[in-house]
Amino acid sequence: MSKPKLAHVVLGGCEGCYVSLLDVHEGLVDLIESTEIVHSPFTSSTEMQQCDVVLVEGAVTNERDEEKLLAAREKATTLVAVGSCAALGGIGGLRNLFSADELLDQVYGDAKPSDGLPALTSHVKPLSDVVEVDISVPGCAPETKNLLAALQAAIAGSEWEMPRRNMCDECEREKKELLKHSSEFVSDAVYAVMELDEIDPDKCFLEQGVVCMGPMTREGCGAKCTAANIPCRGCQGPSRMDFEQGGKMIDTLAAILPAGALMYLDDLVGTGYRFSLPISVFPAVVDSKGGDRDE
Amino acid sequence: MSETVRLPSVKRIEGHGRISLFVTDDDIVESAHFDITEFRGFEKMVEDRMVWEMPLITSRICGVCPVSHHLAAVKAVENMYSVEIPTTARMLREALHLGGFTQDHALHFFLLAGPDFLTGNGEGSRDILGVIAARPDLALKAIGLRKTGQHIVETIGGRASHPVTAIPGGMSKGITAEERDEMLDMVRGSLDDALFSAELARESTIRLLDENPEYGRTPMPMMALLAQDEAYDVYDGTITVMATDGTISERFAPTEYDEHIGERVLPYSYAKSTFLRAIGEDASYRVGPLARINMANSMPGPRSGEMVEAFRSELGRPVHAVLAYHWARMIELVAGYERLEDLLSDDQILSDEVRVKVDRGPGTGIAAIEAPRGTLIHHYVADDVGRVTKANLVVATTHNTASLDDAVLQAVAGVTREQATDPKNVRRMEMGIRAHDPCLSCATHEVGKMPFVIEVVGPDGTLLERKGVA
Repeated sequence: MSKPKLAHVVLGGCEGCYVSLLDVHEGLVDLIESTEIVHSPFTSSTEMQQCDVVLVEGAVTNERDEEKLLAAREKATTLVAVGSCAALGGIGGLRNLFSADELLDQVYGDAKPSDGLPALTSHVKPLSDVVEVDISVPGCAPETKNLLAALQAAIAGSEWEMPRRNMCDECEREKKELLKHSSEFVSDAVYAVMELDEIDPDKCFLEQGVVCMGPMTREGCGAKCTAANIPCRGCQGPSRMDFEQGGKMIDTLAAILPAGALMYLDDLVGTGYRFSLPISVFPAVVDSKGGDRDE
Repeated sequence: MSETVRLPSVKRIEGHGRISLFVTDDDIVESAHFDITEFRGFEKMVEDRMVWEMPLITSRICGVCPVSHHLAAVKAVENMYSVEIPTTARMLREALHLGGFTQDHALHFFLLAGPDFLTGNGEGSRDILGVIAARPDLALKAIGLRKTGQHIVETIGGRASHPVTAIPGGMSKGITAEERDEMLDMVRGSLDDALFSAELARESTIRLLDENPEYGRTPMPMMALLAQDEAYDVYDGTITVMATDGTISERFAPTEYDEHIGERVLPYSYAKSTFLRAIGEDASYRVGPLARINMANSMPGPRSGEMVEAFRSELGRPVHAVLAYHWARMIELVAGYERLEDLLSDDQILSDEVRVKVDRGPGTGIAAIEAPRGTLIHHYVADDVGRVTKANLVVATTHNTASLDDAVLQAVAGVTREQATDPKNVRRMEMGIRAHDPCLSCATHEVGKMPFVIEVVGPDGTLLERKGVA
């Protein structure tokens, strides 16, 4: 039997997903021996090749990303969206708070570079806005084990999906006050982790008054951040793609943390939608003339 | 198709590289650029975010050196709030940084740049797969060195990709004695491979320099962060500039960077270019391993110290040949392991006093760190509740813009358009770019292996030819 043909395409992102794949360490040798890699940042073919599976990381941020993504879809049997940029638009999607023109104006002023550079798309898009995606592996970066599992499923031609519960199900921190029936908030204010006298390593962050995206975020990451005394920032996106991660954050947290403090002492957009703004139903930009962002 | 990213004023090189060659009426190459064609806009996106979230947001600029951004950001916030962190936190951060540094250097030397010179000259072996097929022993060493580095990043930083534990005031958690012992065992176990790598880099560099006797040697000033008495220290220090003759011409605190380093927009690239104000807009300088190894008066341990001596006795001081970046990079790998062994052997690193409390407020914070590719500067301004109102990030690869252009031009200056795009010259252009290691994306992506685009532009600015190179 011939080896499965793999391709790897990188659009707008940071390459952390690629590094996460390299983190299979010794497994890399097996991976390379058991597959035929027909196109990747590391192999010599310039053109996208016919293949069984293509891994696409990064979001669609400019016109060339779109061209590359369409070519990848055309040539591959199975397309895997790797990482939160590909699956959700990702952190680069925070640029959707501004129009592309506004952004370029602010960064470069009158001296905007343009010589032969690919034009930016009006907003950052997940792959699914442009092509059909067969398997999504969210995470910034996705855990190596999730990437491998998705890749194996793609090669085998089977379906694969991340678990759909929320991150709290994996987190070992204890919830006590959250579970009590009470008309009081669990904390009198909203704090940054740096503002706590002590970081309680066992107690739920919400009960310590710290905004944690656990209840709004899909599990599967192993809850490594909360185990390291850092609240979740939602990098795996919502547990169901059709709900609003930031909207759910406000909905959930306003019942347990003082709403006014939440508004003024934290960043609802940058925390709630840090990795998923491009899949939000809310138009991120209302331009100065009062209309929605250009499509 | 080539394209590259750079966070404009938002920096990060990413995506694919493009080379632009400019020809005269006679079709002779007269200038060249290495362009960055991707744009993400981080500096603008972070406005209105909370400043203490910067270590978690800006680490996403780069998946290859997220630790550097994570730490530069947290140091900038501490500068804003005038915070002194506990000794143990400083030690943990330095070890975290070196974990990231060493895995990055090993990745570049063996798997990205390595195909240039480690597997002989067969075109077929000129990519990562070629290294694994032709020299599985080297591939396994690279994998082992990366594994040690990433293990340290995950243990101290909480995650291997985009670590999270550095918070303003220190670290969110300490480490246990068991974790320390395991890291120390891995560091000691990898030291031989690091020494082997440095020797291999020495031999390869001397061979590369012999094979390319005139190439990539334009004298330029060097810049790096150095500790007191110009001691090697990649975590903290004073920004120091060495003139082309080897004398120290400038020393300044990272907070004064704006008085010394200017930025300008390039018409052909989403990357900005930096320049040293004291020398002028058109002058170039270099950062990264070559700058640090040229400038350091002392190294963290005896082995790297001897290697620096050997480097200087073989090549002189300062060394301007860009192909010597590879050797300098592997000396740094050894230095990283020496320093890691010292840090992890000291029981102070086990203390649970890893943070002080920090309150929010307004201010300006600026800090620098030596990222694997060179000096990285983060600068934030925050309002009364700690929301970012302005951010400026100067990334390592930006400093090298002019040196990158120079390395491209030197490979093809004065030759005809036809000759410029023949495989031999393309390879030289690539090799010069890769020596700088301009971030995984640029460095490898299209450029790291062959696929990238060369555009030939005529005297009136029209595009004469666009060529994908395979």
